Amino acid sequence: MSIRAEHLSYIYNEGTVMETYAVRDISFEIADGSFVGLIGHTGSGKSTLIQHLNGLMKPSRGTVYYNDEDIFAEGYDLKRLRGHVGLVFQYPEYQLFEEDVLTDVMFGPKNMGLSEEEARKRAVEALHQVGIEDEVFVRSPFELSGGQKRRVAVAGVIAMEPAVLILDEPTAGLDPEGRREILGMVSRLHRERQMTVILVSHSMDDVAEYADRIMVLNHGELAYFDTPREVFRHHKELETFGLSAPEITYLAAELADAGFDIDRDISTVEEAKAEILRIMGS
Amino acid sequence: MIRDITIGQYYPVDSVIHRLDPRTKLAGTMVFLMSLFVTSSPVGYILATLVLAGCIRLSRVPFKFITRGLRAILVILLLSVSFNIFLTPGEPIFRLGFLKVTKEGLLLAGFMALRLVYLVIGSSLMTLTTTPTQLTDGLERSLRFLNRFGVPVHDIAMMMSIALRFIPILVEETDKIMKAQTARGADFDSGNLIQRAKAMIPLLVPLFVSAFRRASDLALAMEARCYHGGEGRTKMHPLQYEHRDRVAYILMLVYLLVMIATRFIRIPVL
Amino acid sequence: MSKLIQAAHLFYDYLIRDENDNVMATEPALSDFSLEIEQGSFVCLLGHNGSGKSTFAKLINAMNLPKEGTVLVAGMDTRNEDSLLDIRMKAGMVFQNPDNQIISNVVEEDVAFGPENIGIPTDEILRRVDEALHKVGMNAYRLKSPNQLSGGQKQRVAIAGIVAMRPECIILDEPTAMLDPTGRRDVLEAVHELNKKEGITIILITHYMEEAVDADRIVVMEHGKIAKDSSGRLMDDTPREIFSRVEDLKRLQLTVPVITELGHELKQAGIPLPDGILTRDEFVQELKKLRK
Repeated sequence: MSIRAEHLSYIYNEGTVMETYAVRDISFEIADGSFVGLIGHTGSGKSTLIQHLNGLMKPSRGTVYYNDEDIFAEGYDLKRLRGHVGLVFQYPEYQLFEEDVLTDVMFGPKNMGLSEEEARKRAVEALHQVGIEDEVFVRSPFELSGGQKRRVAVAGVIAMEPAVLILDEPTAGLDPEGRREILGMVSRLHRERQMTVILVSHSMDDVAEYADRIMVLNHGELAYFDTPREVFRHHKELETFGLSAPEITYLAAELADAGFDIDRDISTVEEAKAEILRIMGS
Repeated sequence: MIRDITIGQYYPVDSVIHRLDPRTKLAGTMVFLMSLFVTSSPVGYILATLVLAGCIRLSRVPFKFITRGLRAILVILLLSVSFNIFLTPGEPIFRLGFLKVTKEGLLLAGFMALRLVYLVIGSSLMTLTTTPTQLTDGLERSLRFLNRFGVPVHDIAMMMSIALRFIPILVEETDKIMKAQTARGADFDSGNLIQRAKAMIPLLVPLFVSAFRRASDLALAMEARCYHGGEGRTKMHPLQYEHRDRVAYILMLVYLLVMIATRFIRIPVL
Repeated sequence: MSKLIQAAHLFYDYLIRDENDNVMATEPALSDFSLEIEQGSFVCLLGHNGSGKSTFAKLINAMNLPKEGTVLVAGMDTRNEDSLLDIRMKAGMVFQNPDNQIISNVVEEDVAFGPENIGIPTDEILRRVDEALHKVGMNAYRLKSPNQLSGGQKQRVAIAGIVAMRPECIILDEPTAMLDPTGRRDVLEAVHELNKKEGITIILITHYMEEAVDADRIVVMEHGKIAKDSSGRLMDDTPREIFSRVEDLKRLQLTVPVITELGHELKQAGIPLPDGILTRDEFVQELKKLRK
């Protein structure tokens, strides 16, 4: 069980002078149960790439396999795929439309052909999972706070019980509390439900903390796909892509340059704490 | 890509035509359109062709951009041409079953088609050489006399200009919401008419909510920047007639008079 | 230094209306809130959503009026209708969403919008637009459509639109919340530049503690009141001391910069680092001291 892209390219205005590659010849395989952080500067092709993974965009070349089946093959049921590969867009609260929270979350499950009763059960479960209390269920989604709206919108995708959850900058525009809630929830879904997660983010610190693999896009090409350690080791290259490494990685480098015997390739506060305690302890 | 839709389709180069005052161009377009209807002689059409070709040349807009607008009227063009060809009584040239094609029909169809094509090309030339902002400015100034009849000309122009700014944003947003709902299993393409109409609700509700939110944000931002209607407002680029505009008006007048004159000139060619 | 903004004992309620527009309930957004801001200072206003930051911002330039209390901007009372335009000229405002505050279809026209509204003569507008676009580093985009710009560029255009009105003060309400890191950096740089070079008073409302590191003064809001203020009226003396109270800030639902957080964690684990380390450089220096 996995998502696999093979030589995926998406070309705008193909065959004209304005021809541009949004993504170019990308191949990778995302193993089941992994947590992938997808990073790249604005316009590097992240959004285009993730829209191919659930068939919302059709590649100009190459294809995507889900569980070894070509999702762009004739007759492949894309609608069913979208239940398995859930995609949460940027600012997902802008797609809320129903009169109350619960009905809105039921939209996805009902589209998958589930009964009213089953859809309701899943919606309730999803809402609990994102930390929305029962008394909010009957309220209009438009009355909620920004953070609540965002969580309800994510619940709308989770209620389809996808095996793979893709989130495009789910914390954009939220305050620290809202960001913490969303990331905590995603990490819980990953741990407790073994959901495969692909998290698009601009925050290197977040990606370093949660992802076990990091995918880096630069001008539509796959620059790195490796563990955070390996990827952030290339922080000089990342800077040429308009990206950066986490603060902690830079701190480790500066400490090492100042003569401290510290591991240069750490990226989280926790790792740094352990390292500094080790070197200062001796 | 949906973002490619441009409203007003301005073609950014520097030319005499681009530099003309938008009011001059509005007037010029009106004159040209009128001239197509006052003339009926081949001489008139030859003159119109020359003038149009001259203006296109002066504008430095590539020809293929000029003809782009024609695609939109292709159906109307074909309809009007075929009506004219087949339904005009007169001296028959040949027959197609029960339809007969007459010499008068062919001539009339030709002129009709030419008129339509020139009409579109003429107005395209204006929108290609005038930015939407200049165009609204030009309209606001040209129609200012309507203020006296209680028409809020400034407000209408401001609305037009804001619409121009937000249409591409809302078009992009529509695309995004549509994709987001598709990701939740929505289906916009199948089913009968009623089902399809119902399927639009998840698209339309968020779109309206978003449009209202943007409108109220924008109103706040405008107020914060001291907007209080057209009263006492100055302009960074106030419309001002230059020498070239005066020349243009004279040329327009001469052209219109000559075109009217062609009605009375008979050249025994056709 | 003179006080540019004097807000005293402000009360403001949000009205919650039912479907028929009758007031159902009120929710206090500001309660007995007082704050004075020095001319030329860079003040960072922090606090989680709903703490009253934006409400206060809208009271400064008379977008809203307080239920009780007074706001004076350069000595002018915001309740006085005659000084409305003057107040808005003196205290310009930049909002969160870059798309929803740009009015025109051409960058320079948008920058000219404010000066046009207040009736500045044509030559002067041209000069101001030119100047404003240079100051935010957007002159190269003068004739572009806003739709062709990135979020950070749009925000800088919005700032230029305020600068062109020659304000004394710019209030920025979460200007970077919707931007990517590059856009955030560019916007902050432009704002700091305006503060340093032009002496424009800046009130930056943000969630990001990192953006507060370089501020002259930090005010943290909670429940419509001041929870922390580095200007000395409360116990905290400097921005650094506010940063040193990591636990307090977390309780106020704010996050500290990772370097500060690391320093705090290490201190708790027994490494005698000082409180409130803000930058990597400081951290390296402090750790070097300990090694010796």
